[in-house]
Amino acid sequence: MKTKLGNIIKNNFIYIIMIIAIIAGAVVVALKGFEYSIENIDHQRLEVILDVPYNEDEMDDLIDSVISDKYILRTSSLFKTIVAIDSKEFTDEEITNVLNKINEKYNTNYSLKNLKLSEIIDKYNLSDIENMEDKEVEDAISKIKEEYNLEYTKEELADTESIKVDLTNIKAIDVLDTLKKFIVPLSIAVVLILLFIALRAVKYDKLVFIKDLLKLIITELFLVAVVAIIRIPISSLVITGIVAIGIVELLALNVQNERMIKRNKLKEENE
Amino acid sequence: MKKDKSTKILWMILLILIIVLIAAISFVGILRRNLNSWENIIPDYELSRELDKMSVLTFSVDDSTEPAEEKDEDVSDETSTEVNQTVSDDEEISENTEDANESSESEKESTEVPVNPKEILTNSNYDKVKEIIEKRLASAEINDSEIVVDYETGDINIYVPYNDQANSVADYVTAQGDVQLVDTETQEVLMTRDMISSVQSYSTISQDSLENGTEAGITYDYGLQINLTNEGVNKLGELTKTYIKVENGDEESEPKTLDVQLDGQTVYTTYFDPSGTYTYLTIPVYTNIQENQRELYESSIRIYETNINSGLLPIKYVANYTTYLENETNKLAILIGAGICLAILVIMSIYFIIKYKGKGLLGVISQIGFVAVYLLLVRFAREPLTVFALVSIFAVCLINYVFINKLLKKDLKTSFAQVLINYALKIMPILICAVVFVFATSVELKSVGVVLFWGLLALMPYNLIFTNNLFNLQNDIKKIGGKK
Repeated sequence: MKTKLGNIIKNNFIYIIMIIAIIAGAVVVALKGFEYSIENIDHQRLEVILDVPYNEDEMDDLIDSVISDKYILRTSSLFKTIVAIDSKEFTDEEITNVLNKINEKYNTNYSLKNLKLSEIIDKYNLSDIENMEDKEVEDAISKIKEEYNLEYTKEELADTESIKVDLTNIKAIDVLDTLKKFIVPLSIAVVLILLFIALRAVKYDKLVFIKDLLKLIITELFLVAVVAIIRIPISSLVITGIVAIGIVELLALNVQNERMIKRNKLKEENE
Repeated sequence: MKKDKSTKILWMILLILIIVLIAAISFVGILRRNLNSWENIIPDYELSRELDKMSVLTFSVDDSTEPAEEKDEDVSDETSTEVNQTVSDDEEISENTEDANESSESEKESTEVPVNPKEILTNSNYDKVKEIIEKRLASAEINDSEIVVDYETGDINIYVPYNDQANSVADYVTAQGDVQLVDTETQEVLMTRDMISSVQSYSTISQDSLENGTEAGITYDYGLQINLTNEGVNKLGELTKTYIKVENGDEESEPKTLDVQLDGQTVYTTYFDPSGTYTYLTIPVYTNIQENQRELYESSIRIYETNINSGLLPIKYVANYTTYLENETNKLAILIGAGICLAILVIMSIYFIIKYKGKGLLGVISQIGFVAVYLLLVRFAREPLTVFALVSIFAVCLINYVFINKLLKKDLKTSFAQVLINYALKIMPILICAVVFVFATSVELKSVGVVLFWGLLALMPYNLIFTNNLFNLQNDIKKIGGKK
């Protein structure tokens, strides 16, 4: 009895390990959920107009030295004169540091004041500041100082052309949207492949469909568990990676099946 | 015998030269002089938006207002509509309408109401908007797109590749896709969108007659054929009895007309021949279009068709702004990945030469030829390539490599067909995925499907023509040499 159990464990050792990992992964998901890539969570985009083309590597090094969190660096102009940095959330300190570094490198003069200008103009209805009473402007300036801790002059508030830094909130691309589009074609492909395997092996192994399906499910869940445990940010790339590994596994199972059929045919011929 | 050997050597050289030529076309291209530069006439690889440039179009819920008009009890009879109509003897109507926008003047009380009332700004309507826009973009073959809805504000961000198609996205989002028939005079709605089953765009060509010595030219008319539901056909039956020209003795009275409105804009005014039977309506939207404007109006009528057939957008949207985004890091990653794949193929080629000597070298030449042919097919397929598709290209190259290895290992008794069938049985999962994924709506899967499909389709004929013949010729040459 003990030997039989030992044999089962020995033969399915890898699957036992995988099942343990799946349970651990389920616990991690229940407690902490999945980690998502920046594009797949609500995040912020800091855009800075440089007026001159910048070097991607230099900019990457510059941003990397001041932002501790993960970020995506992209250009948002055809001539590479606007840099767009996507990150989960920017603190005022991080923005100041980024702008200081950019000022040093590109001889600009940007600050948090520049970034907040459009928000302040909207909030305090200052778009027509030139025609406003001095008293009104002074009141607005003192309110701004109180709320934002930033000191502006009337000229600075009127100079909307100097707005060259922008911070916008970007909505997440839903991972479920990607998954939804995958479900039907993948299910059809998997069922057809397993049917093919089962029909080829029907003479020698009637349970091959179920066995291979279980193996595939265990492998896919194992991969999802690994992604959850080691906190790999989920993105469409990770999803396609998991799918690709599943297809490779089906290929391996099919090759294994063909070999089994060949072996059995040879055996029959010899008998 | 010597002649035989020479012929076979010549054949082998010819096959190798063809492979070299294909490789040159694929890796270098066919260059043509274009002004001061050289232009490659072979199409370039198309990368998906995640690997290349993309446009992000932002739309927001229209927060404007429109006058809510309440009609007075006494409706004036005055009308300024002029209609020149010719009703065909069968079911179709074809008339030219002069300006039909001026409706009856009546005393109206007007108050401003929001274009999108608060009660329609619900999550289920946002979902419906997303679904309809997805359908519209798919019909317009803007496939590599991602729609993100902000359920708090209703704002929509649409990610599309940065190309000419990006400019047309707004046409599919800002139009609601509404069609209705209204009384020209009273503006009473006579037929709503739900009585219309579908629309089909059409075009007609007409030759202008030679007038005043000017050259006769071709002009185009573009319109929509409006197909109706059973309810719509019944309603149209009623309308064709009401909206007619009434004859009072010898005097001709003004006909009672109705307007066809697309998204609230009157595009056509008409009346019917009461003796006719109508099951659908033919609406000329653009008439007398010159050749140089043809493309513009043709695409415009198709947009109408797509928008109406995809369903009515429950919420009206306005275009906000477009952001351009490009990620250089991804391109660098592709280059690094391509370098690694190339290194793997080189190592495998060295293995071929070491293990199979001369025949191995022929295998390597054949493999290079296959990669060249395959990459040409990928370029002509014009499918945007995703990361997954790029990995699949490498996978197909490996599959071909393994197949050549099997051909190298096969003994003289085994035929090419036998090796191919055995191999096809082993790679059947990939074949199934290729066929299924070609029909997927997801760009990630479709791209993989197309890439795998063309690769696996090229594998059999290519290896039959080149690899198999090269190996057979080499065997024959060896045999002749041995006999000598």
